[in-house]
Amino acid sequence: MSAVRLRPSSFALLLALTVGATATTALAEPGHVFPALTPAEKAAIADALPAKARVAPAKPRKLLVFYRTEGFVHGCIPYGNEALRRLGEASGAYTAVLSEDMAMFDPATLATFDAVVFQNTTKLAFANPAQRKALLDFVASGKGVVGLHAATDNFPTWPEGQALIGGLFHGHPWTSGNLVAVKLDDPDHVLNTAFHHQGFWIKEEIYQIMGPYARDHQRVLLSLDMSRPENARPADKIARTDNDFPISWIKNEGAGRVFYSSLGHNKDIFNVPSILQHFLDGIQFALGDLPADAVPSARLPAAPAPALAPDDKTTLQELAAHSVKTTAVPAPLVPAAKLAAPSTAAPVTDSLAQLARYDYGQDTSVISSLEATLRGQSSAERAAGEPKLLALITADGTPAAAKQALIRCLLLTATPAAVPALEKSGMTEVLAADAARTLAGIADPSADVALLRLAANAPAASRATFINALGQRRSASATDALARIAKTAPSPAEADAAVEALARIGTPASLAALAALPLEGPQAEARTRALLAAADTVIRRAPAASRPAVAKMARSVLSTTKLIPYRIEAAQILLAADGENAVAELLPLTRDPALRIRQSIARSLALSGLPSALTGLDAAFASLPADTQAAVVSAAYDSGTPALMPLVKTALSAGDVSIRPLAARADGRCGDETTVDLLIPLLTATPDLAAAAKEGLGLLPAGKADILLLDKLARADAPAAKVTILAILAGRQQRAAFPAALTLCSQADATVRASAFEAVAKLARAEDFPLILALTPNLKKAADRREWRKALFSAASAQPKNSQAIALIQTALAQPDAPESPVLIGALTVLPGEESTKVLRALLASPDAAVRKDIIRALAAARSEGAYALLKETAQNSKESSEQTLALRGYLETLAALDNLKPAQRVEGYRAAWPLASRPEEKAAILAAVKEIKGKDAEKFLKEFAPAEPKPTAKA
Amino acid sequence: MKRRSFIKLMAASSATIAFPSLVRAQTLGLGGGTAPSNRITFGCIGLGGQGMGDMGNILGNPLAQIVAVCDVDQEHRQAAQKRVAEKYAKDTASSAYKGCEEYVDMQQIIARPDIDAVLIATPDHWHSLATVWAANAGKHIYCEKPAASSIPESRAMADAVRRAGVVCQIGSQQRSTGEFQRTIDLARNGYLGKITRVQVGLPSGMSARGNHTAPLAPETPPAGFDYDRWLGPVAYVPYYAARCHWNWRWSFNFAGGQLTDWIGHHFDIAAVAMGVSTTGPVAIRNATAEFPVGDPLFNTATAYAFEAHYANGVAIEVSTKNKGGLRIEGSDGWVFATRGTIEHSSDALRGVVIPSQSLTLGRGAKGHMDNFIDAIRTNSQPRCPIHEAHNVASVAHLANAAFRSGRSELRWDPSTETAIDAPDAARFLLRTYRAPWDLHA
Repeated sequence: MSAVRLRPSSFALLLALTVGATATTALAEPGHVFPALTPAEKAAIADALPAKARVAPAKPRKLLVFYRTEGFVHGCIPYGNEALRRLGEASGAYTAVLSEDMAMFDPATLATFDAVVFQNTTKLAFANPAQRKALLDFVASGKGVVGLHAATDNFPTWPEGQALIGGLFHGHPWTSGNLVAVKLDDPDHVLNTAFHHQGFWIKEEIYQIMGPYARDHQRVLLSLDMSRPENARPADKIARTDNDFPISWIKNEGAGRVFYSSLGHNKDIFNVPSILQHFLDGIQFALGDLPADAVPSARLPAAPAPALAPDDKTTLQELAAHSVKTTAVPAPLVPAAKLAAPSTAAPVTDSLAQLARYDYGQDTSVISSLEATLRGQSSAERAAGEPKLLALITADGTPAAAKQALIRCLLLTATPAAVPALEKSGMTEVLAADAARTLAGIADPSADVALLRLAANAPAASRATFINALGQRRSASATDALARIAKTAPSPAEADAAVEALARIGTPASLAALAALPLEGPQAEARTRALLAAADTVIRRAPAASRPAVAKMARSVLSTTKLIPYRIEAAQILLAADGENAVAELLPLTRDPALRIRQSIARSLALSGLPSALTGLDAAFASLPADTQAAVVSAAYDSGTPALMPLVKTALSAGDVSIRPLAARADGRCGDETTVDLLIPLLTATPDLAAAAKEGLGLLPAGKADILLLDKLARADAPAAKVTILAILAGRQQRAAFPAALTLCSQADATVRASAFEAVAKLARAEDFPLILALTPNLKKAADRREWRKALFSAASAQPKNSQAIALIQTALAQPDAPESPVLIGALTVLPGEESTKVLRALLASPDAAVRKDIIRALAAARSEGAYALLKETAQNSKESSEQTLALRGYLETLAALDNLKPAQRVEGYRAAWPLASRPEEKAAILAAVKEIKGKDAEKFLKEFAPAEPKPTAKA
Repeated sequence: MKRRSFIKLMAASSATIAFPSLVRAQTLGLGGGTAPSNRITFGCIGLGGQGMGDMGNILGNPLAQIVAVCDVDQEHRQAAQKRVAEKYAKDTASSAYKGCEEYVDMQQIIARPDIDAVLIATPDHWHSLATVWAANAGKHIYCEKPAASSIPESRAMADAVRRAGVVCQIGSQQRSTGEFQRTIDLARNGYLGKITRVQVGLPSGMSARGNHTAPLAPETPPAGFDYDRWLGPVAYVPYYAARCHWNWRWSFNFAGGQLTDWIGHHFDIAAVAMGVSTTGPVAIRNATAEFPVGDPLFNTATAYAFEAHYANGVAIEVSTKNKGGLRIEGSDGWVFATRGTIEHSSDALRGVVIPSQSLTLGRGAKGHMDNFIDAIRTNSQPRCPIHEAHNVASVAHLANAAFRSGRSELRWDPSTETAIDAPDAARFLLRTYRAPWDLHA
């Protein structure tokens, strides 16, 4: 996370934010322009569409989707429009015409439609009497009306219109971010089919319905499940006295029909398959195509038992976002398979018939289910079920995809009885790799036989796979056959695979077989490589007995091959096989013309730990090329073993100038206090070497080295020499150097003094607080101040509560022209406990405006969490506009500078700042800062407060 | 309200040597062939999202020069070439840079004698072949994590690198970031006391999967995409755009789900902190997992938990239910780290400054790619060498094998790298290559 540093000038220079009509808060806007849906948003709706309508329409239907707003404009309107348009298209139930033109309700025009949807229309006056009559006649004559969400918030001067819809919006105690539980009042009703007899949870804004609504007038389908505490709301928000909060209903009106649902505020409601199905059913009812019972709920002979919301509170929107498409509530994930207890799951045969027809890209439930069953079975049970799998694998009619899946399931059963079926499958190219793998895992000689037969008889393109498998299973019995293939196979791919398989088998016999192959011709390289790999494997697995043979082979390769990788490898193998005996002949290779050879062998010799290798390298060191010296020294640095210290010493004294810095660092890793005197003189050498020596001294193990360094510190004459050693001791966290550091803070030389302050900062503890405070007269330059501030804050934040620190700071502040008072104020903000906060608040309440401003500035410079909180408080509560601005600026700068904040916390901080920002440049600065933050919280913030702006592009 | 935030994690690393001055490239004979430059030349293989990010780090290092890019997807390839050309044209203040060539076949890059090092950021199922070929050809290698898609494959990588004497860094880049280095140093230097519990939280589900529903007819690969080569050694499965770029992670054909994708991060740090990254485990215990049902394309575990037990008694708990990151608890306190954050159990612990002599991974060049380039220059070991990454990835493959065979316990012999008394789990550890691809032993 990078912190964005807001400089004070950013307020002035940023452009004023153009706050256009934001989609969620504008009013009274027919003709409002909505941003277009992104392809992803359209896809989310498309994914939720039902495949077909519940009934075929009696004739082609034309649906008016009306979305005019004369009041509040819902941001979801374009989503609703897209969903309604696509619903009709995908299902064939209707063709939609989208409009916000009141002219649609002219009688002649209206008559061309079969039903009208009021899609989040608001405060429609519908004042024209002719249009009012037209709509009422439209329904009474046998056509339909559908209302979604804000449809109950219309016709303020037209009671008949309100009665037509069947209810009036009376606030929404359940807001758009609330989790609500919904019940099916009538689980068996055809318009509730999509919900499969189960209530559900959603995040949605739910209306409280008053006005002409009554269970005596309409058939309620969905309503809030008030048995769930999540749905409870304070009494002062609730006007209804009967605890009845309906969501969807239908009714007959004359010969016509009405369907209403208050769902449709949050955009993602339109991504939920069951809800879109519910809407489509309701629309088809209103169109007159889908018959449904509309007897009012209160007049039913027997009230149906409602289906309440389930205990699992996953919302339908969450399920839609994560599940494979389904119109039902998806089944939960298959629970974990436990250790093979006898399975009570359905027998294997039940799913097999389905599995036998599986092809690529289909729903894989049958495979998952079979795998889950097998996982839970014992080996005996798996073996017992295997024949049925084998029968399917060998049946001609089984698609290749199913065979592949079944062969993979055999990984779980894998008895020798499976070998014939696998051998048969291996002859099909597409199944070769899977058959080979399962065969490789069957611990029976018949598998070796099958693999060898396949290696000979399978289609040419797949033979190498079976040879490969023999290597995977380390099939020692196949050694002779593989050697034959290596010698005689016409295809280079097969010959190559055969030598690799022999190498992987890695027994002395396979090594011998490889060694017997002539190392010439087109196969030479592959054979050499495999030979060396086999030798390496053999020496690692069966060291003692095979050493002589391996050493002989390695020497032979070394003397004949010119190829660099094989010389390196042969040398390494020789070293592993013959140890000390090989050193003498390998040492000259450290001067080989090839860079990689000399570096690799030098490194291997250094790391071998063999005494003769180390003394040999040491003796030859000065004559080695610089790059090889570097390899030796790097090996020492990496390993950090004391045994390599003699080489490091030689490198320091006699090595090439260019590698001495490397050697100085390596000294720190391999050396001890006895090497301190080697490194100290280098502190005054060339800059590279001095820096390396400093690092090396910093790496020496704790203990005696510190004592020696402290001694050097005491004895050093020149302050410049002292501070170098001081810096090393400070890096080593050597507390005993603190007094010397304090003393050196009074040095006149600026560089020395700055280093001293740096050491103080690194070593400061809580108890040093008074001493650090007393250093203020020594602060001359910015570097001093910077380190002193660190030291002061470090000691301050480690104070026990109610320490003397507050009193000391107050005394210091009380001095006339108290030097460093801003830093002292800052130190107050990092003291633990409430006392210091009280002091700061008292200062902030000073009657003197100049003092107040100074305090705010000091807080802004402190960059601490304590200062952050106080700046926020001040920005919120200050009565003086200039102080408020100063505090807000400090608050924002501190927020940008605090690391260790999660993105969510950071955005929260900016959110709190937003209402405090009264000027456009302040708001712009906030937006600019939030744009730098990655993640959903920042995106949400930007959408809310800067929706007119393009989204920031994701950074790499 | 805590007042501690100003204490930045002081980069207590005293290794402030600017690495260009450490050893001149000429001393090490690098720079390749007849090229006048001293730079380390790179070929970049696999240029999807991660690859482009890694490539950016190479472009940012003045000692490196990218001379070749390779991808089986023409769009990726061309985008990468364009980015390289623009960067170097800008650097040399010229109107065009023509020194970066495009390839489809990585073996052509590996065969070029003028290339010193390769970046391998292909999907997991290609890591092993690419690394083994590159090592055999003497190239230094930066390969993305996890090391490989199976234990035998990363074993082959480790062996090839060792035999070739090249530098190989695996992209577990958290080893190069401050909060994780500090976690390791606090644990290893006794600041937490005796360690009593190690918990790692890894992601559940599948990230960035996209919407797709069965039935899905197999699709035709686009004209510029060499699907057969993209599949490489994997058993043939038909092409789906939704299962290629990025989303191969969620299919056992190519990878091992979130577990293998993240084992090289938070678990890797825990393993280093507990000193067990240099060995394999002796057992996976208490393994449980949930698999998706019915998904037409993806089948890796979406929720999982297990413990990795080691011979020295260390046990590391892994679960999708744990908070993402790692938490190490000891008798003297605990520390929790995730990307960008480290939390300490006490102010005193937060105030600890790690002494220079106790730093482990914090020495040297800061960035992970810079550390790799530095290791090339000094012929030394990078922060995440392949043999350690192999051990760490093995844990994920073993856990997946336990899940898929229905075992809650799986015992392992780390010295022979074989499963104990678990032939069914052992079969899930195998990976057989599709001809003509063959993995060198």
